[in-house]
Amino acid sequence: MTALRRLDRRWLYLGVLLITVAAAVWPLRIAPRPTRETRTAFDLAQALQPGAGVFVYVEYGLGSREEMDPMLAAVLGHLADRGAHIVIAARSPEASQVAETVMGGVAARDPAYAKGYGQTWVNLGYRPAPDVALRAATSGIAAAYNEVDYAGRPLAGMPILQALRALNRTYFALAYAFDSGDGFAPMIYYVGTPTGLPVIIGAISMEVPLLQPYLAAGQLAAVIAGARGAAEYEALAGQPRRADVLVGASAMAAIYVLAVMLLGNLVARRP
Amino acid sequence: MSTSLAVWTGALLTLAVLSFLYDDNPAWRITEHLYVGLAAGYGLGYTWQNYLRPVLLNQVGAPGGWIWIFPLVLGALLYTRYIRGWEWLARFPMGIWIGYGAGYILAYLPRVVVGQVTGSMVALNSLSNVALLVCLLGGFATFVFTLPDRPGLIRTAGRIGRYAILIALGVAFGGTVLYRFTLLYGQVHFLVHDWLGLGH
Repeated sequence: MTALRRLDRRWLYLGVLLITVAAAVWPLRIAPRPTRETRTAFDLAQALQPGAGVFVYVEYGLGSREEMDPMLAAVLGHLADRGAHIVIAARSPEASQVAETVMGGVAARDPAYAKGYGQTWVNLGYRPAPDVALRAATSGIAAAYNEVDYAGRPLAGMPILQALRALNRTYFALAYAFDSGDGFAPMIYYVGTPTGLPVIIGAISMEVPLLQPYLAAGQLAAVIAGARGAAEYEALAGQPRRADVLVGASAMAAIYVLAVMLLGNLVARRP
Repeated sequence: MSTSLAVWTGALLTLAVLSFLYDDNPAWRITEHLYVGLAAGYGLGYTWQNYLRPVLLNQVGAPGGWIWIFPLVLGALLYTRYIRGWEWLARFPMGIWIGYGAGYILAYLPRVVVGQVTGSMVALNSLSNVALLVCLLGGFATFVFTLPDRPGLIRTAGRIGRYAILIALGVAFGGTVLYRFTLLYGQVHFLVHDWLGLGH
């Protein structure tokens, strides 16, 4: 017991590393049963008519890609399957590049999107003072994003933005925010609540409890919760399975963490 | 094992970052500075390409573009805080900035908060709704510090609220552990598969 009490924390890190390596070499796939929230998010996207406008706001950066990329890819893939017209914007320069990479992968699988930039989808990128840009987009998207897309190309002449002029219920059917921090709040404050546009949040696991009050109050239409939510969505939408490996690896880590916490408490209680 | 220079660079930088778990060391510090520098440089270049350049070329020079002189001057005034004797000029843009931000929040906050309040007014016809009400009132009671001698009811409600908050924090902690582990898994997956070429 004394030895355990004096255990160097680095041995615990080594345990985490060994479990992670094991999960990477021998992946354990767990496909969780869809929760009501994920099914609601799926149903809302499934009900979209071809050509319906969807706004996708990407907030997360490089640090959260592992958990969020599969979710974003699954949702964008599903929206492409439904023939939605997708307007993407980002909350940071990093997020803009992340969105472009993920949407590029989705578009490569579908000719209507692979050759349809400016018609079926557009990436507006990031603007300084992103909250102000988001709020301004509710009255005019092109002006809010200074008339250029993420690569500096002019938005004038892009058919998608001639049809989807402003971020509100007149032009759009759904709005999403994929978030690893505080990106969900502006979407609720400046888009969802003032315009009544249904908002779906895809969030990292640690952020999900913060979203529950908004969900309960009806200020959010649905929440896709972390890697588990991504795995559920992939299964529902028939998208390529990437997140179920993450769920399996997380389960192994959770067991290890629980065991260490239990052991720590047992050791600490002894005089 | 990979022969790509990009993969090797990523792998060695990943190992340098993970080496901090053992102890602070020069490899970790170099990598940290490299990341901060790259992120700052990327952000600067991106903002110039996507915001400043289009605004300067297309809008400032366009008819009626003279109005952009005001934000440009205000923005430039922020830098006077680095000029001795002229620091006070930076207070003007900062004051406008803070005032604008406060006004912005005040304009949009009430509607959301009212929605939260009405969202908590639920029919007590299920265990979930009863739990919501009890935890909500308990949470409020936990933060009643103004009464010098808190009545027993408020003390009890506060205790319930404290447990509710602890449960919420526990859920958040569990989510944090899983989230952080997922990030680690991503990098280890990169090392094992893309760099070493092992596993499935």
